[in-house]
Amino acid sequence: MSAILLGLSDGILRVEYVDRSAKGERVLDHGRVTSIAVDRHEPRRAYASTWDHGLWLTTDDGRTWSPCGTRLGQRKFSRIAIGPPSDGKPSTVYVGTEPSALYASIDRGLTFVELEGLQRVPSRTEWAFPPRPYTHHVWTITVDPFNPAIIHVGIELGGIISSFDGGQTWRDRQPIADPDCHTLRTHHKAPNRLYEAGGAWYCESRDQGETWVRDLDGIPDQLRYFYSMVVDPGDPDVRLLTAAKTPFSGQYGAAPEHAWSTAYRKIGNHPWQELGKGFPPHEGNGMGWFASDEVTPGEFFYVTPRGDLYHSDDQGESWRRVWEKSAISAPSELVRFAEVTGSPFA
Amino acid sequence: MIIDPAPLTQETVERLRFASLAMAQPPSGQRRWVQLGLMRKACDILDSDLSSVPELLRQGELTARQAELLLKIGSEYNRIRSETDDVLGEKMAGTRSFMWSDTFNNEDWKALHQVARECYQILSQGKDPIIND
Repeated sequence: MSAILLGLSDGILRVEYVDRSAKGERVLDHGRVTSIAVDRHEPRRAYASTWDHGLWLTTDDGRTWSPCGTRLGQRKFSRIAIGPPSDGKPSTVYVGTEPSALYASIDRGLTFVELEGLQRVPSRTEWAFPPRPYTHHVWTITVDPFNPAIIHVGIELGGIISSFDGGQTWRDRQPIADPDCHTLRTHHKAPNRLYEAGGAWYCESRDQGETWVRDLDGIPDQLRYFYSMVVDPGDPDVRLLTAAKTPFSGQYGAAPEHAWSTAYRKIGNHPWQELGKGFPPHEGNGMGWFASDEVTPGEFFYVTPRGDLYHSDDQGESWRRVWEKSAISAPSELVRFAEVTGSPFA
Repeated sequence: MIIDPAPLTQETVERLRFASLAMAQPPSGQRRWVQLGLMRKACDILDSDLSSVPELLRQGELTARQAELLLKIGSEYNRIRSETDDVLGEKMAGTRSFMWSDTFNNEDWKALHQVARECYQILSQGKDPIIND
């Protein structure tokens, strides 16, 4: 059984998917959700960040939520992430904000301390979020699955900044990687590997972000904007990537009459190939969100901005719509994030 | 693109606000805006509307600080433009690889970015003409 947590512009929906059948339930009715993070080593436990209503915690697989991290006060929380456990201690919880700052909690979200070294990165004076270029935010946080001291932070828009000592000191952005980091992933079967879906290109690193290779082979030139990306939990060489022509037609908030998006799959070193066979149509859909439960090989979910949920159990080869958000929730509430609860690492 | 003259009203301020947003973009944002035609539009607005700034200040449509920053954007932009015949890199902007170039990523543009970011912040007052999140 999988439960998919959909972060909305106004709360959280929880969708249970059992035996190829899905049913949804609203589990939080406020907060512009910016991210949800499941503790893969304690999978009934998850955290959510919101832009306007603080941080939230669930310990029952997303069924009920309560505030956490309240001592941080009112901030614009842009991202939350969880590192792997270390030496029997609880997993460290990381929270990012706008303006860009990073906080860490070693007591399961009760208290946080700022990792102030991020403010001293030389490129910081150039960071700027295009719609509000006088500010910027932490948009991705990725902790190495093998070494909890390695943290990669994606600034929108400023690049990928990395720490190899638990956040005390930081390496500035490296060339080649896209400075507009939308999605950044690691893989529990591929040490030192990073996957980045950026605003203008996709790239990978095999050395913790020291060097990068851009790869849009097979993707038509008119597609120039990329966002969500996921890697097959069972195969680090199978990636799925959303694509659009421009930010204005591709973003989740694009008006249906202007929206246009698609998605591609790359296997090994072969060129990217467009997804078909049941995947949502180009027209009328901004880019949605890919999700997996990190351990079920070949299985993916995809949710459109308006909340239609699709499932694939053959590495993205074919897709089937399994649920519609409009059945229980206002269609105007856009999906802003998707995460799957589920099994811990084997 | 030719921008029709606008009356000296809040509409003119809105156009200048858009131009300041364009000039405030990070380099990769500006490269994308070149491809979308938005940087050209912003440059045309600077050409047509910056001369209105003193009158907008006199009418109370702009504060002294807003007017000062808008004029500084104009002077920085004109200085960069005087040194090249392709200020936006439009000659090579047609393909996706333009997004991977270093266009707008130099010290002159960095100085313009900083001025424009301060200007846009005080002009926007939390509103944005393109994306509401």
